[in-house]
Amino acid sequence: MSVRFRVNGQEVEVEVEPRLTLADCLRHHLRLTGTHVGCEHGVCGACTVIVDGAAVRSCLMLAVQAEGSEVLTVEGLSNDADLSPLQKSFRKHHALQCGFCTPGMITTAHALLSEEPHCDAARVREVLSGNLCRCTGYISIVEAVLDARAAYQPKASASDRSGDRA
Amino acid sequence: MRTVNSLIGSPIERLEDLRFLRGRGQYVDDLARKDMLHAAILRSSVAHGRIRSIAVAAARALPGVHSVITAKDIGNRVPRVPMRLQPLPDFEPFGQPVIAETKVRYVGEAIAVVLADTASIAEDALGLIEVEIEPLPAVADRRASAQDASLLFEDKGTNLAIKFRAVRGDAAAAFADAPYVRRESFRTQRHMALPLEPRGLLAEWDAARGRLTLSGGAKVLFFNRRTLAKQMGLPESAIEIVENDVGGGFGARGEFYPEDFLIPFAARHTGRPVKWTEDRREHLMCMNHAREAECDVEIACRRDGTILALRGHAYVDVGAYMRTNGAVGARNVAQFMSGPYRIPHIDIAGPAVSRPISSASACSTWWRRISGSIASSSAAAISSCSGRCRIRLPPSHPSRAKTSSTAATTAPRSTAASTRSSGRRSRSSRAS
Repeated sequence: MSVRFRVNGQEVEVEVEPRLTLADCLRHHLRLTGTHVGCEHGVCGACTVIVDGAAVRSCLMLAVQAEGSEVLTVEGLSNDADLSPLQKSFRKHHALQCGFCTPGMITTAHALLSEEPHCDAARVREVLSGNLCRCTGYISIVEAVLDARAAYQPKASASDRSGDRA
Repeated sequence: MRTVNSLIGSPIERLEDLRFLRGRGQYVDDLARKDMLHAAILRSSVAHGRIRSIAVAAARALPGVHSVITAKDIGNRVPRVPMRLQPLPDFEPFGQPVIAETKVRYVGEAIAVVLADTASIAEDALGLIEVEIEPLPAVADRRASAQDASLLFEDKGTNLAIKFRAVRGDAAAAFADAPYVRRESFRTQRHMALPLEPRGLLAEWDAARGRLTLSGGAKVLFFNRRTLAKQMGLPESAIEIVENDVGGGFGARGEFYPEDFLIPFAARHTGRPVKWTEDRREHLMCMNHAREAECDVEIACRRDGTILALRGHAYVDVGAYMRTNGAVGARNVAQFMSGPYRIPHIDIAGPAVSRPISSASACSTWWRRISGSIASSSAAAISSCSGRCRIRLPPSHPSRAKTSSTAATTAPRSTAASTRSSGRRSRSSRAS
């Protein structure tokens, strides 16, 4: 069946089986392979994307359920020119090693900071508890997210905001 | 003269982060090729059994299925998973065929490979394969395994793969004179590396040039290439193994697994690129597990807690087959039992037990840390008893709470105040 939605600001129309997950649709039909699949049952968080503003496990959502939605993936939070403030903070704090969990961490953190730019460490930990990392441990990831808060706070100019595409 | 290296101790920003942070990594499942087939693998749901029949006609007939491969499609002799480390002749009979031939010996062992236009169709087809397996008694622990009532390898006549013995000094004499002796049993559970990215492979066969390209390699590419060249009857120069971005390895990824033959074979068999990506359930069943061990040890010491001798038995469960790491885990448990302590007299026997249960064999090389833990725990046992031992443990150390015979799985080095490294390792020898 046919499904239409927006991905990273672009309208897409995809012919899919009803059983296809949104993760597989993004990865294999739309070739947006930044979204990773680690467990396929909602445990690891590597496949997290932002659907209509909310962080969502794309392995637990069918592609057909995205009909009419606005989907944002790690590719949509990135641009060619430079890393976003959130990405820069991850790099600065060494909040990644193999990089497999990283897109899910970035999307989850972006969804959090967009809504709660003043969140504290406890809140960051609570929200990131749904994302597994096997390499770095979580301390550097939490530090990276906390350090990126300023870019999401109102005093920052719009162009510094990670979520806005160039 | 410049005497300080400004790089050491400085945080250096990594180049690969520029890709990883923007979703531009390239892990093996990110690859796609024109006319690519997707592989799915039928795996045994039986821990130990004899294969009576495999009926694949219905699976082959499913629209979108290209072919189904079983052991009889492979050729005269199904290749074995190689032994990369310490490949002793004793282990040969315990080698794993890359696809089950007459028996299955663990849950998850490959029985058939389906190749289809999509991964979904390939998985659908798995459900259409009918396999008849006569179940044989599974053996769930090393004690049952030692009885040899149910044998994985009937020709071998035993489930015991090998016995190691690590000896230094004269433990028997030291124990005879020791003012204090303590006996404990310790056990560590089986666990695994669990990288976040599941394993995957993409094999491409170029029939005109007789060349194979295999993406998804890791860690030991050249050993795996040598192995694969022999198994496929190709010169090494005809095979290229590509290491893409790797979503965590932790020692377990990159070892030669059955799929490292099956997927390249499937590509040559069909003449089309073949991709296989395991799901997490397969991963848990099929990737190497590690560290399941039991030890009954005695430690002898002076009144002041100085350790005089260590002796006992260790039992290491290597799973259903000897795979790439052979019995290195068993050897290390025996050889490094003294851990960080200077123990003049040691006698540790470490049999490696092969047994059929839920999963496969092999282990990482981190066993010395476990054996070190056992030494630390034994020392702590003395400490808690005599109150005069020079080894101090924090209140939270599991060994301090001496309520059961379970082993501590970590040895907090910094808390062992009198720890010294002997700088020597005890001799490890094979004992028949």
